Amino acid sequence: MAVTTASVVVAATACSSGSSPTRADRAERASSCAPVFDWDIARSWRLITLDDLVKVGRGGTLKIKAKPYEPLTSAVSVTGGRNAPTDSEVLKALHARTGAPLAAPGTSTSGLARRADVTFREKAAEAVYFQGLRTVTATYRYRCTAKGAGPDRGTGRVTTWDQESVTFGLLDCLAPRRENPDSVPAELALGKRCPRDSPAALSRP
Amino acid sequence: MSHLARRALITVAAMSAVTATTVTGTAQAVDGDQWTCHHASSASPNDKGGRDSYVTHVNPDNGQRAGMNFTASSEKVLQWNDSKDNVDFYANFYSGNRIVLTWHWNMDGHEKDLTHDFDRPEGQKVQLEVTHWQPSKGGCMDKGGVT
Repeated sequence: MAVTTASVVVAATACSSGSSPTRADRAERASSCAPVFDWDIARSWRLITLDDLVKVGRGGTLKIKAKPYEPLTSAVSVTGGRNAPTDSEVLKALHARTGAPLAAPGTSTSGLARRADVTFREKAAEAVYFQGLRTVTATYRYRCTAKGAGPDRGTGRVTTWDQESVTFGLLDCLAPRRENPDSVPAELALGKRCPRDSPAALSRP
Repeated sequence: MSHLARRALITVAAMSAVTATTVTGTAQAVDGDQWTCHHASSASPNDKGGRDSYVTHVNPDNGQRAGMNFTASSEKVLQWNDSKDNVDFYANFYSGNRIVLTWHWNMDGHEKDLTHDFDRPEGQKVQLEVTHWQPSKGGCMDKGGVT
């Protein structure tokens, strides 16, 4: 898990309003804050889809259910008043810091589940379908740099994921490690679904 | 991925170490003709031993198309359907000269592109295939990919 701290300046256009807009109203608009951010960023892999182990005979076809596993919804929170940075500004700044295409607030990992069929042509299998992705969790402090902006400081938190990290695969608990996927999500799925005495589990490094 | 980006990707692939490109169909198409098939593979620039590949299946009547791309370095699979028709996608994985595993997906017309890192053991030959829901439209295949 990597943790980094950095400051990012986001140029923001001034936006004035006669009444205090709701957070939903202003989620996509620029604030009058011109915020500077300090970040504390953590990345980690998690499973988003995990099917039960299914025994498939030689020549059989596995109908993948792609059951969502502990669904996660992308979210941005912030403290502060009407001049606090918008969700869009926060996410843009986090994207600039991480370089990753991040899921927009309100997006659920359950929408990423992908169905498929897999035919095992040569041998039987004890199959486990999985999907995983790399989450990006960040806490931040900000201060407004625009003249007259206030309150001029606050904090917040972002939970999202790298949209390019979405990984899917299929484990065969009957097959040794070298014949199985070797990604982090594969390891997580193996630990949760393959029996401890299965060839896949016994040949783990 | 936009049409332009996709075409650029295909052009780059076609220009570098292409092993096979086959185009079927006629220049003056009539409704009901088979879709044309464009496919190729090339050595991965970032994954030693890996090979990238793609297939593009094109309706000669209106230019609408669907396809699949495999990138060896990240084992990334991109599936896209810019046609109005339902299309099937297959990825066959080999052990030696035998197909051991066949993945099958389906996409409705104009469904959103799907990109995933496809987690497979290294060194497996990959065969991509895209077929229209009507068998008479033919199919489009490339056997040149390697994980």
